Amino acid sequence: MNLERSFRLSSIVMVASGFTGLCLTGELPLVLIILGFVALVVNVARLGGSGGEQLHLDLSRETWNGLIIVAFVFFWIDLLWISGDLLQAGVHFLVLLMVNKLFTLRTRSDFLHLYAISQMELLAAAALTVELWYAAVFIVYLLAAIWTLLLYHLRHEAEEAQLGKDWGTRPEDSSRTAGLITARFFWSTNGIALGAFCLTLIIFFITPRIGVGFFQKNRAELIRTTGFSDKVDLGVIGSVKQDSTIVMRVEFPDEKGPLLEQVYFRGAAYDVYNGRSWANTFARRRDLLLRSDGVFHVTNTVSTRAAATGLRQVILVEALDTPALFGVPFVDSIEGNFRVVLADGMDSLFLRYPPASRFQYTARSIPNRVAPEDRISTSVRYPDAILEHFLQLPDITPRVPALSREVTEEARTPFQMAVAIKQYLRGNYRYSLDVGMSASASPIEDFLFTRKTGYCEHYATAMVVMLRTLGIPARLATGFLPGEWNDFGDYYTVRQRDAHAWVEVYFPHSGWVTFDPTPSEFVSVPNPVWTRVARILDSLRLKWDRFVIQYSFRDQIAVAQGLRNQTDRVREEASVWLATVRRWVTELRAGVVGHTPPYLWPLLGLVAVCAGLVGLYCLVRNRGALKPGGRSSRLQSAEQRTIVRLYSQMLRLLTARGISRTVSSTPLEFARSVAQEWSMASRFVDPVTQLYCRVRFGQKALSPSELQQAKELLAGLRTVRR
Amino acid sequence: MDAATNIQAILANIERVIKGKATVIELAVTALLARGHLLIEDVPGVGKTTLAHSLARSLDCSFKRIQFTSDLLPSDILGVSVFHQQKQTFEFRPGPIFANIVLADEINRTTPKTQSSLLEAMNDAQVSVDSFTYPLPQPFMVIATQNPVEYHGTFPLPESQLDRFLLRIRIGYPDTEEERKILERQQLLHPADELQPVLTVQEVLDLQNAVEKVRLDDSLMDYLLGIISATRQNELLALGASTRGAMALHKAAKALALVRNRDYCLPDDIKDLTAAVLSHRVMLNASQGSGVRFEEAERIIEDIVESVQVPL
Repeated sequence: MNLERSFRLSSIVMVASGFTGLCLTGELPLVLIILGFVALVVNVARLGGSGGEQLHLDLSRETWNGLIIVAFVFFWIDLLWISGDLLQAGVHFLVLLMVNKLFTLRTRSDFLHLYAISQMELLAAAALTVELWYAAVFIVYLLAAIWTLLLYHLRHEAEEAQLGKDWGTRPEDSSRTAGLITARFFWSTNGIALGAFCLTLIIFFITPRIGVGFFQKNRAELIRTTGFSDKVDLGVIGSVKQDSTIVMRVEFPDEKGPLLEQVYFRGAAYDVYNGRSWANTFARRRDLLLRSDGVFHVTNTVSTRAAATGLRQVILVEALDTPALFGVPFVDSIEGNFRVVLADGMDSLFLRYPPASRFQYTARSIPNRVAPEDRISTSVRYPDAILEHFLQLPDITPRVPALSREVTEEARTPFQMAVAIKQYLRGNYRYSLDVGMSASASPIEDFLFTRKTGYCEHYATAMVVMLRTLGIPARLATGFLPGEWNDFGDYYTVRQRDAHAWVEVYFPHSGWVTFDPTPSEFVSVPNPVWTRVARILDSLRLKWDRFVIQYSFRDQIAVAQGLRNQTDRVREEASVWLATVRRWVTELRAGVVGHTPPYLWPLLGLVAVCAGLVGLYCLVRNRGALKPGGRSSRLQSAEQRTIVRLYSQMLRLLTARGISRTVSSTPLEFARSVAQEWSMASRFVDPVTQLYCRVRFGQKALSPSELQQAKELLAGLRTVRR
Repeated sequence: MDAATNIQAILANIERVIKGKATVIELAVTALLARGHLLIEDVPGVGKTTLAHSLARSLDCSFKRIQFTSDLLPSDILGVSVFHQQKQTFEFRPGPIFANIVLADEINRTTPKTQSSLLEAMNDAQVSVDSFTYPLPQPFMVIATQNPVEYHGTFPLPESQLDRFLLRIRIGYPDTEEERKILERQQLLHPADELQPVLTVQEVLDLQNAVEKVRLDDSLMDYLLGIISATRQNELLALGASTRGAMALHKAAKALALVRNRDYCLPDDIKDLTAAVLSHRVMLNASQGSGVRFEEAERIIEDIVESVQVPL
């Protein structure tokens, strides 16, 4: 592949990756996406065609410039009325600019503009998303960018170098550079690129960053959960049992492999059951104490035991519509990027508001086990507060207490009773989601005596009611089962369908102990290959979130605060400085009004005149420089550009000496008029003109010695006085 | 012999006769190389015929001269079919047009009928007589002369027919010094008579082919088209240059570049040719001076060229 083509290809790949990043944020309207890809495809097609010019959109540069103005006007309309958002309007404008540039790629500066646009697209994409695909886009962009800049440089150098060679026609030129882009070249440069990428990664983890999807406007749709509000209707969990949306991912960093015992991620608990729904009468929440180490402790006394034996979980929760914080019961301390944690009377933890985005926290739990005393003691004394709340019963027929007594006939202790009821429910009832809404007044009795099929809520509610009929305090807990173990990332993927309800039974010595009367359900495993792939992808996603997106929010806050302090200080300094200036001005005015120094006004006048002259000079000079530029966009080769630049220099030089070329005079005519007006200059002007004609219009080669000679002639012309 | 030497040879050859008129000679050779026809227009006695003669004699090819008069008939030019008594068939007797170089002297003196018969031959390089078509020899070039001052008994060529001439040139009076040399030389013999041919027919054809390979930069194409469109927008002209005019300028510019020993065009080539190529192809507004129309047109065209930006 020759230099020019590979340069264009890598440029397009670079721009395309930036644009893809922007598209994947989902912030772009479809029209712009299509427009952008059409422009890219046209460019790729141009690359493929031999001449490629047949695909050239035959619009003049002026038309394209006019379109930029239209796009700019649209940007303001967009900003003020359509999207009303600076970032969105800016992104739309950026895409329009990119399309425009893609169609007007001619000069080197066009390419540079395009690179700047693509980089801004990538930045905008970074500001708009926290998704994993961004990493892929970023790597592609990085590789393409390094390649492009490398080739850009090579191309530039080659153009310069070709001035020194007799390169003749273009096909010859491409064969000269064809051997340059070899496989070895490709791999070694990509190796450098990857090295640079690794270095960037290191810097990334050392340097703190600002903003987690800071401008992410269309936040991810909150995932609707059920079963964690103050009141839960019986049967709601059944409605999400088919939903495979991922709710959270849980890692147990201290454990190796999946946990051996069954754990639950508890969200909320309920004490009052009215026959149809559960309610929490302990909903009053209190603030948890934040210790100096940034950890919230649930119990006021620091538990040294917890640090040693607690089960540590790192939980990455998706954006849920509940403020509940999940954890293996019972959470002893919790740590994360939040300022307040609330706890209710049921040992459930909450944030003040549902989190708006995916977030991560670490919890340390002390699983409650049944104390040996509670296992054997037959006469149990419960605290009054417990008895008051956790023995409440709905209106039930005597059939239920009778069943309870029948089931627990052989049990002696409350613990044995609880186990007996659990075993009874597990053994005699069938798990099924296909229950339908019960029409009877008491769905639980319906479950226990009529249908005998149900799911977790029915089992758990039945067990609570049965225990309560026996005088054993119990409550309903809701949360999630661990779900699926991901053996690639060593974590649990918890989905909506893992929502679960279970029972907590109170024992005087042990506190609340978890009982799960629901039999294990059969889970059908879908296509194993696909599952494996999905698991790998999911584990990548988690790592991206853990190590890139959620990386050290505290650092961000620190930087943000540092910045604020810095700006405060700058502002203070500025105000002090302004005050000083104002004082000077006041003094000066007083001085002027009082006794004007005789030189002040002439001095000011002189300064103004000088400034005006300088401005005028710049204007005239720039206009002069622009004139030849109008046509030079058509120049094809670097040699032509070089010689036109030299010739223009000569024209400017002669203009400065009072011999100016009219726009309609040809090079030879001008050379003749120079010879007439200033014969001394003729011996410099004529050879340069000859060379210019030959290279500019004849497209002959320009050898370095000729170039050097022309430069010397120009220098010579400079020294001649008229 | 390469192209450069050939061209130098023919230029030098003609210059031996036509003194001090290098530009005119250049244009004449340009018309030859561009496969075009030449219209020389000037007052009598400045060397129109001599120029045509010299050009023809410099080439090793056939040359015919036709003196146009008001009673000249098309068959006098093209030829005629006569009945061959022995063979009992019609036989075509080619007219004077069957030559490489044809000098049509005082072309505006003959009737439009005869004029158009010549002009058709110029356009198609072939002659049709009695439903037979006879190709003309190659190279084929018509050099026509006309007198712009004397209008009595003339039939001025219409614009559409003038269009067939690639270049229209004027010779002008020589300066005193050159005139002196001319007088001294002609005392013994007319110098055109002693000219020796320097180019063969094949060499002329080769040169004509070489014109095709001359490079014209894109920017110069823009410049050329700019001039053409400027003639169409000029208010002094009732009719601007036609597309055939643009093609003629394009071709002539390439030929002139070759004559000037280059294989690429310069803006100068186009600029120097504009008056010669375009002045007989435009129509003046009626309000413009009634003097010598061609000179007026030349002046306007030159003004137009001065208003078009030369590419840098």
